[in-house]
Amino acid sequence: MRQILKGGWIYCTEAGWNGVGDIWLLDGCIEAVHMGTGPIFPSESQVIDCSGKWLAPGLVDIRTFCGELGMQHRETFSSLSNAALAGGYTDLVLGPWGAPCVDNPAVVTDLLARSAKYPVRYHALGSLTLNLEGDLIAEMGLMKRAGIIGLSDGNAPISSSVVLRRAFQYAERLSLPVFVTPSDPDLDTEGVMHEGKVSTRIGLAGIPLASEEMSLARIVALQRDTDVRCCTLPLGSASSLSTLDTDNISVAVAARSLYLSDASIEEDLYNPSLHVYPPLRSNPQALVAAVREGGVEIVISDHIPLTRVEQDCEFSLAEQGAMGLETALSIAYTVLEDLPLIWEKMCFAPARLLGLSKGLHVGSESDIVIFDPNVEWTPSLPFQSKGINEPLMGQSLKGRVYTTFI
Amino acid sequence: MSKSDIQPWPKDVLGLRGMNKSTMTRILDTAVQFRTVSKRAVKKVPTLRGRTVIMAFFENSTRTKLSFEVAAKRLSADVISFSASTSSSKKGETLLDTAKNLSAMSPDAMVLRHSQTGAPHLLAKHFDWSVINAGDGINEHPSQGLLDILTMRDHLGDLTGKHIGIVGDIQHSRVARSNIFGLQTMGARVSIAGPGTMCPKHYESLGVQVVHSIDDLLDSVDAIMMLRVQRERLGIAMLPSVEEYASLYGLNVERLRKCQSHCLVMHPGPINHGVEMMPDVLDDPRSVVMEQVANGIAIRMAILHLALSGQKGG
Repeated sequence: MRQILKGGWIYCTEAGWNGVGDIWLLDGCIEAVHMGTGPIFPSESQVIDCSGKWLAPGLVDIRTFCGELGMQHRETFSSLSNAALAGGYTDLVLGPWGAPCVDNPAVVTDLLARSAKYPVRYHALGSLTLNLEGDLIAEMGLMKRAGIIGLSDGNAPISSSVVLRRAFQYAERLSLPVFVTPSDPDLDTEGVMHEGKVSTRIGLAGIPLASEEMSLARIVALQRDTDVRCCTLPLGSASSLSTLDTDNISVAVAARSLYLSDASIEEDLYNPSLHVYPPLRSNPQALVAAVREGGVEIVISDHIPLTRVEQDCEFSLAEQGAMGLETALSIAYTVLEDLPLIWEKMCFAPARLLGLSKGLHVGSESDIVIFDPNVEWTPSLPFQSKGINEPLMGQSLKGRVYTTFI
Repeated sequence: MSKSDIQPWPKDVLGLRGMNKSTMTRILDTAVQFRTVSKRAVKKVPTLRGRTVIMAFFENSTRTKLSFEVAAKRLSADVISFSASTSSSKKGETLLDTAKNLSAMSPDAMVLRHSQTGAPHLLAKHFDWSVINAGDGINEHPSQGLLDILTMRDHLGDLTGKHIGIVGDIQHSRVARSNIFGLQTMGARVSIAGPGTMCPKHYESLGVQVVHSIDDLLDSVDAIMMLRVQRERLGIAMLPSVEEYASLYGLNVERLRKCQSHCLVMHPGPINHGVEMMPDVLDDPRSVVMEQVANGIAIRMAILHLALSGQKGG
């Protein structure tokens, strides 16, 4: 059946749309885009009134956790897909962590085959080192042949500079981007939150900012040395951005880091959903400014769902990570209120980094999110995700996804 | 005092951060009344008869556990004690699951010591019975803070404007943190001293003065509290040697001579003799270490009494 998305603001820098119009969908493809007042549509069409809403390509997330295989109690492809569509995402990149770890071509093939039947496009990252242990580099070439689009050891830091340099050298020759989390395992050892006034007041061991800054300096040096395409995944503070002067490093931040700070852990005392890595730092406003000014290129969901079993415990013992898929876009809109900027950071920039085609081109498969900027809502249980650790639970957010077509 | 003057009493005693002066004063005043009980031939009052208090100690403790037990028993409560070595946490049970099972036994209060900051706050959020924090991670040890403040008040009177020095591993000391919060609420000025690894500069954000050397404190403090060097918590590269620590930061008779004649010498115990305090310092009449221990029972009686004796909810 033909569907008419009528009277919304159509935005796509790739296809050149920016104005009010109608999008006609037929059999899962974009049949036509009519700017202004479109032609009279056939009477049997299903019309979706999009006036006041925003129509743009689906979002791309470069770091998402799925529990398949091994941790299905936390997330399955089914629940993850539902969460993604609820949040406006149509392309998700799965991290290499899991059981088993994505460090060989067989796991890549299996992962991509399992994910193929769900209504979201899934992509895979392979690990830089075997079993994320930071010792031996993984079979990057064979994993590329099996379908990975990048490499990462997630939040597991590679402490050896020799191994990190060689992993970068090897990845560069294969033209695979690497995604690295700036962290210093030695400085992070005891800490569970940003080290500062709040950690001092509430008695939690801190992670100094120097951990991120030192690690980022090392990444910058090795990137320059090897020329690998590199993305930080994600950065917690704007303070280290001044060290980045290369076009080959993209900076990503988690949407929650634009809204929450270490003070949130004092306000919602010891809420384990706020135990995340990188830790919530003290100056989210500086990160917001960096997003506006271009220092930060990509905003991600950093979706790591956890269940009640992993959350009903002491803050320090809670698994690190928080949900994000269903709230990231609304958080970004709440703090930025600039939809073209948000789409650049959450759709076009990550798509370019990964070499994905995104655009509302006539004839292409429908890949459209309808976002209503006029609603306010409060995230609450239940979520589409199987997780319960949504750190924005109970907070008022602006704008919400109306529906997603893929 | 009319009934309407009685302020609602908080269900839990989780820390001195955020506790107001009138609440703190009420605990101190109640403790003073209970102090007489321990001096009687029959050291028991019926205040908590029929009430059940669980002592849940997930970390090793001798004096705090015994002190709370004695306090609860002198109030005639039924006391159930268990420690980590005999609990199901050894089998991997979570704190919340353990607490749910204990809750099914209808306790009135749990006195909890735990290695994790926020553990008592977690239980306080989930259960109706009172949670008394007997030390959580590096966060707080409110009953110790209160007994220290009571000891100071006994000797120094009103603490407004008094200068208190705390020396040692502030970073890992829940005793220091509770004292800092409590003393500031009572109007005292707090200075801290210790090696940079144990006494970092960012503690200034708590409103305390961070000084480099114990010698910078000696002539101006009204009380000096020496913290135990917690060898089990020392971690990587905290100190070059305990000998160096003893020399640079330990309280000896020579240093004590520079203190004011009324300056109290305090220690939360257990003492590493010859490290943070030389043995002969304890013999000085200004040492009130044993008074701290005695006051501990009174303070804990007061805490249990106020939390459980019907004043809950006003």
